[in-house]
Amino acid sequence: MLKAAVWLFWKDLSLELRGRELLLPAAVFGLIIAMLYGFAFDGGQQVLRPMFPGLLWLGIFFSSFLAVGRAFGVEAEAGQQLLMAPIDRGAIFLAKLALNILLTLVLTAVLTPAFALLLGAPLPHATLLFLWTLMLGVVGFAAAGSAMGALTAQTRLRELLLPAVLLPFTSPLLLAAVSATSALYGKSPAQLGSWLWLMAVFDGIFILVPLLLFEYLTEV
Amino acid sequence: MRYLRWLALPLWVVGLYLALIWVPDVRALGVSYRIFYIHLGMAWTALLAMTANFVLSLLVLVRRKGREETDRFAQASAEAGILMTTATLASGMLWARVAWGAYWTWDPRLTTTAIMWFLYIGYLLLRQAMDDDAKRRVYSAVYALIIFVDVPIVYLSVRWWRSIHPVVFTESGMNITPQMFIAVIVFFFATLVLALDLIYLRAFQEKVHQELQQRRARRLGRLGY
Amino acid sequence: MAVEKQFLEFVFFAYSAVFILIFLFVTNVWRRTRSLQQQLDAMREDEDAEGES
Repeated sequence: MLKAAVWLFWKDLSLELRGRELLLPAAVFGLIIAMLYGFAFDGGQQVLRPMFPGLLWLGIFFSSFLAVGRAFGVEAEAGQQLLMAPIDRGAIFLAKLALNILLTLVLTAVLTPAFALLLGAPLPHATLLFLWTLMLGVVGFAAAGSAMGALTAQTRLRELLLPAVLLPFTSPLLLAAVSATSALYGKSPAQLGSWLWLMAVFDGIFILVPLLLFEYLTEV
Repeated sequence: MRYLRWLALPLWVVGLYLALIWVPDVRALGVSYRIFYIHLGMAWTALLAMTANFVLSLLVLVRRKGREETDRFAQASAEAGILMTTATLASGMLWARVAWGAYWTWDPRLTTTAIMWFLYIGYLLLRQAMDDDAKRRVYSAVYALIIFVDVPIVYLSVRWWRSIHPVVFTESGMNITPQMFIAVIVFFFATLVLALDLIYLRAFQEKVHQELQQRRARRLGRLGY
Repeated sequence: MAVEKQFLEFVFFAYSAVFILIFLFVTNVWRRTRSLQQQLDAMREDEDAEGES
């Protein structure tokens, strides 16, 4: 299973490196969101700065959403050959998960400084903790997105259905990520630990549960 | 099961009498709190229906025998659960308008219920968008299991989130007397019976519908289309 | 007292609204089931007739 997963991962990665079909549009979309915040919450950086954690995470989630949503859409459009091949669904899930994690991490690395710049908020001083928060949030979103992407890829609606199931599903993650980031800026910092734990638990559960359940998908 | 429906009606009437007339007023809350009886009964039924959906989905995955039937009941219980959740939210919002002055507050239970509602709406959407019967059964079962795991995490996160912000509304002042408890139980059973009736009805309807479609397809095949 | 009465009316209204909506829904499901079943029965009869002829 691992071997197949690694192979699939390389296939997707080399495709992505050649075309950059996921990363580039998603990153541009993220930057556009930052611009639109400026228009929507008119009032300049004094208004935007206190909302920075929430705005940042919404930007990350929405732009990651584009990349994550495409990961399975690519297979579905290619005539579902991969989904029909006798490969364990767990392996496909792992490969897509690895790709999604990589893509969303790169996206976050691009968007976080850009958001800080455009919204005029300094990054938190506790750099390591901030990086840890970013990583936990992004990995959880990628895991949930891979699971839901695999389930919706087989439907007629595909990318239309994904936001309806993925965004409510990841709402605790968004809540935890925003609260943890706010804690890094000094807003009830005592809660930071529990928020990080919550994100770690979310990540662990939604990497393991789909892995366990997806073998049932191979039957049909 | 067919006669269950006729049990629901008297239970409702008795429940209405108990909740609206028999139970004495709670001074601090006025009359409006009486909606709490129907509200609580439906909330419990909704949770039970969602749990039934979880168990049935698990059965769909691990047991091959009677998979179609189990799947139909899983769908029907999700539908009944959504209906009861909608009714719970509606009655809760009405009460909140009277008691708190706003239809919506970010109270942990309210928020969790709303997110649960969205997740199960997603379940029905997912089912509707899948053409292949065998695939729909397994995929929606996997989805049902995953979202059921998500609900407690949602509740935990929202509760922590609210504990940071000032708590505007507390749930104090609701000490349950034996009389109130009886009214709650009667309403709970009334809604439970109604939900069970609905689940059986929908599962049966789905069965008839599927057989009809199969026969239609076969007939078209015979006619040479 | 007027306020109390208003509340009571509100509660009655809310109870009956919820009840009527759910009841209408169940009735609707029931009627549709019956119509589906009639269609199925008609189809079965047709097929039996075809088999005999």
